[in-house]
Amino acid sequence: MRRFILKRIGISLIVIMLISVFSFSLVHLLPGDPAVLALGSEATKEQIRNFREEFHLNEPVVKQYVIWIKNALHGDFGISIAYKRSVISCLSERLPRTIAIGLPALIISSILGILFGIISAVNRGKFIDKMITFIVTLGIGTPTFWLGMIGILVFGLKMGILPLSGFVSPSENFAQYVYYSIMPVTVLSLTLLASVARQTRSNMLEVINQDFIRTARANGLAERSVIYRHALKNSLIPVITTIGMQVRVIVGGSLIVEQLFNIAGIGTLLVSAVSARDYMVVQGCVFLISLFTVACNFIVDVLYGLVDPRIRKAWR
Amino acid sequence: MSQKTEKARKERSGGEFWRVFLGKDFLTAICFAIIVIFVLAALFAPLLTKYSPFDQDLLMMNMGTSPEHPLGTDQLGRDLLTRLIFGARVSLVTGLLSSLWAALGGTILGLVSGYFGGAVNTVIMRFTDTMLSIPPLIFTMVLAAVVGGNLVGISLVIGLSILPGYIRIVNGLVISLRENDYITAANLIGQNKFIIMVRHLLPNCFASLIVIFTMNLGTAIMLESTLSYLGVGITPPTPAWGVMVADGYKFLLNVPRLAIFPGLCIMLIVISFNIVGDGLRDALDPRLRGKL
Amino acid sequence: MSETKKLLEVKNLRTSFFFGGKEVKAVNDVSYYINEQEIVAVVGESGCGKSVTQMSVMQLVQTPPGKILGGEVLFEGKNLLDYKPKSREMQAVRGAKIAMIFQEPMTSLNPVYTVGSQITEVIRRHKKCTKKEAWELGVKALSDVGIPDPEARMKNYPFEMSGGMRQRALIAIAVACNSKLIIADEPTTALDVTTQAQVMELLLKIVETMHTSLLIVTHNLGLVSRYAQRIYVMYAGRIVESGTTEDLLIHPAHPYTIGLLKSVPKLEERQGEQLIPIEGSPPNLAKLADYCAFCPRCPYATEECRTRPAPELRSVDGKLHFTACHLEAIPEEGK
Repeated sequence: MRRFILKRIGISLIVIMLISVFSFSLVHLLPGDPAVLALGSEATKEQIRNFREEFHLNEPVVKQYVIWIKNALHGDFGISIAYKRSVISCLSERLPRTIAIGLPALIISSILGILFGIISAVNRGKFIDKMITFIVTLGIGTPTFWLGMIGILVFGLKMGILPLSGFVSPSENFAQYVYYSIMPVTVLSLTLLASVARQTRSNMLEVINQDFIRTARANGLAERSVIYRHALKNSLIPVITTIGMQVRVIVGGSLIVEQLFNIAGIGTLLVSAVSARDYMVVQGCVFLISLFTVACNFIVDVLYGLVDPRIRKAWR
Repeated sequence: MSQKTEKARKERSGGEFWRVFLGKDFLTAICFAIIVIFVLAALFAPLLTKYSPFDQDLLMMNMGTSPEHPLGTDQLGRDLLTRLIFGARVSLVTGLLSSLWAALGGTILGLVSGYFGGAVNTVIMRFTDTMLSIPPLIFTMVLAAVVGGNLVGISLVIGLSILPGYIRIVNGLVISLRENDYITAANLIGQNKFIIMVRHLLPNCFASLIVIFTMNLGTAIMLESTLSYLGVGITPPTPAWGVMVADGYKFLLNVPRLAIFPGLCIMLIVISFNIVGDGLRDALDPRLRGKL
Repeated sequence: MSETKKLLEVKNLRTSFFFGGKEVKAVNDVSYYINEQEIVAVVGESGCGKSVTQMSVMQLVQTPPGKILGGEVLFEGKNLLDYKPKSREMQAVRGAKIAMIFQEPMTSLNPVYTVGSQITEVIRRHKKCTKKEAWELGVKALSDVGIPDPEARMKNYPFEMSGGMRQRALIAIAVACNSKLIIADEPTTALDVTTQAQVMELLLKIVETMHTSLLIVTHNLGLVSRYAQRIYVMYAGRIVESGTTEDLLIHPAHPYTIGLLKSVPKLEERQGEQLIPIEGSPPNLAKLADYCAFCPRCPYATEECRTRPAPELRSVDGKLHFTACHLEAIPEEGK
C-alpha cells in the first residue's frame, strides 16, 4: 500500500514538473514582448528596462524558470497586468465562485450519471433504455456554449423564470445562490452526466454477462443483490476513473459557462487573460488548474485501489 | 473462444461489415447520411449558393426567411445558409486535419512505446500523463493564442490535445498484441524491429485506428467550434460555426436563428460522427467497446 | 439402487434462441429424469444444447434472446416452470435445493468480494441464521470440500486461489445449503488432470455422504463411464440415446454414440487400433431439417433416413435403453 502510494506520488511529481515547464514556456510562446504588453506602447525605454529587470526577463531562460518555480512554490505567480495586483490574489478571489458552480455540477452529474447508466443497463433494449441512450447521445454531442444559450433564450428571455446571468455567493444568500446557479450548474453537468451514464451502462452490460453473475443467480440470490451488490461494484470501478478524468472536462466547461453567464470565476479570468496576453495570469492559471487535476487523478488512483482488492494486493 | 474469433473475422468481411454497420439500427444509417450530406455540401459549397459567405449587404441586415434567402441574413446582411455551408468546410477540414495529426503522432508514439516498453514507454507515458492533466479546452485555448487564428495552426493544436488519448489506446493494443506468438516468433528469428512494427503490429491495429479516427473527428469539431466561440479559434470573417454562434448571441432575443442554426449544425455533425464511430466499432472491432 | 423415487423429471422441454427473427432450437423436446442419490450424465459435443437444458431447468436462460417455449420441470412434485424466473419461489430453489456448478471456476466467483462473504451471503439467503452462524457454516463447508485452513481461506479473495480451489469453494456453497441435486456443468474441463480427478472424487463423496443426486454435463465420455449410473446422449438439441452406463458403453445403439465411443482413447486399447473421429461438424441449429439431424454425418444413413421425419426415442431392449434412430440394427463391423 505504502509503496504504491509512494510510486503514485513520484509519478505525480514528475508530471507536475513537466506541467510547470509547459506553463512557464507559455510566456515565451505567446507573441509580443511581455514588457511592452504590460506597460503599453507609450512606455519609455527606461520603464521597459526597469520592468525587464524587475521580472528577470533579461536572465537566461533556465534561470528565469528556476526563479519562477521558486516564487511559485512560495505562492507568488507574479502580477496581473490587467488588474495590477498579484496573480494569486486574483485567483483566490475568484476560486470560490468557480467551485460554487463546478462542485455541485460534478456531484450531481456523477450521481445522476451512474443512476441513469444502471437504469439503462438493467432495462436493456426497453423503451427507457432507448430514451436514456438518446438523451446521452444528445448530451455528448451538444456544444455547452450553445446549450447554455438556448437555456438563456428559453428560460431567461422568453419565459423569464430564471436570471440571464450573474452570481450570488452561497454564504451571502443561499436561496439566491441556488436561483442564480440553477442554469449554469445544469448546463455544466450535462456533458459529464452523459459520459458517466454511457460509461456506467457499458460497464454494467459487460459485467452482467460475466460468469460470476450467473453464479450469483444460480445460487438463488435476489435480483436486487445480483445487480446492486455483485454487478454494481464491479462496474463502478472503471467509472471512478471516468469521473476522475471528467474533472478536466468540468474545469474546461467552467470556462464556457462562466463566460456565458457572466460569472467572475477562474474561467473568465483565464479567457480574458489569454486575449489580453496577461501572461503571468495565464501561467499561474494553467499551472494551478493542472496541479488540481493531477491531485484529482492521484486521489482516483488511491480510491481505485481501495475499491478493487486485486489492485490492493498488487500494492502490498 | 475460437467460435467468437471466427465470428468476429466473418463480420469483418465485406457484406457482413455493411450489415452490422448500417443494418443494425436505423440511427447509424441516418447519421451516416448526415455526414455524407455535410461532406458533399462542403465539397461543392460554391455551386450550391449564388452568394459568397463574405458578401455584406447592409440593406439586408437580419432579414427573415425569403425565397432569396431561405434562412435569412445575418447582422451584416450575409446569407445565413451560405455561411452555414461554408462553415461546414471549416469544421470538416479542421476536424479532418486535427484527427490526421493525432493519428500520425499517436500511432507512431503508441507503436514505439508499446513495442519497446521499458524506458521508452515510461518517457512517452509521462508525457501523455502530463498532457492529460491539463484540461483540453485550456490546453488548446492557450496554445491557440500562440499560433493565431489560422486553420492549420488551430488544427495542429487540437490534434496535439487529442494525441495523448490516441497514444494510450494504441499503446494498450500493441502491448496486448506483443504477447502473441507470431510476434514472439518474429522477434526470435531476429526480424528487424521496424519491420515487425510496420508489417505485423500496425495492420492489426488498423480496425481500431479507423474507429478512433472517426470518433475523434467529432471531438475535434467540437473543440474547434468551442475555441472559435471563445474568440481564440478561427477568426472572423471566415465562416466558422462557433464564431457564428458567438456573433448571433448578441441578437438572441430578436433573431435567435442566427445562433440556433450554426449550433444545430455542430450538434448534428458531432452526434453523427459519434454514432457512426459506435457503429464502426461494433462492426470492426468490438473489443474497443467500453474503452471508447 | 434400492431407491427409485424420481427427484427431478424434465418432460418435453423446449428452449429456443431468437436472433434477428431466426429461431435457434437449442433444446428440442427433451425429456429426462434423475432419481434420488443417483449420478446421471448428459453427454454431447459443445453446442448440442446440454448446458442450455440445465440453464432452462434453473430458469437462468437469458431472455431475450432465449425463451423457454414449453415443457415441464418437475421437482419434488412441483413444476418449476410455473414459477416466474425472478420470483422468490424460483430463487428459493436455486442454490438451496438445486445447486449448479459451472465450467469456469476462474471467473465464476465475484473478484471484488472475499470467498467467505460470497458463501455466507448464499447461506444467509437460504437459511435463517445470524452472520456468525453463517460464517461458521461456511468454514465447515470449506473444510468438508477439503480446503485446508478454511478459516483463513474464507478471508481470501478469489484471485488469491487456484482454479481447483475455487471450484471447491463453489462446491462448498452447494454443500453448505444441503442441496438435493447438484448440477455440474463441465465441472472439470477447465482444470488440469490431477485436479480433475480430485474434484470428481469430491463430488462422489458428497453424493455418498450427503445423499444428494448429481447431474454431470460433459463432453468427456471417459469421465462419465467411471462415475455415472445412467447416461443421456444429446445431439442437436435432442436426446438421441439413453440408458444405463453399461448398456450405452457396451451395446451402443445410436450411430452418434458409436462414433463418440470410437473417438475416445481407452487404456486397455489394443495396439494398432486407431481413434476414429466423427466426420463433419454439428449442424446449424437455426437450419435444422425435418429429418434426423445426425443423418449428414451418419456412416449408416440410408435413403429412408432422409425421407422419414426425425426419429422418436424407442426402446431397444424393452427396458431402460432408448435410442432415436430408424435403423433396427447397426452393421456389426461398425461397432
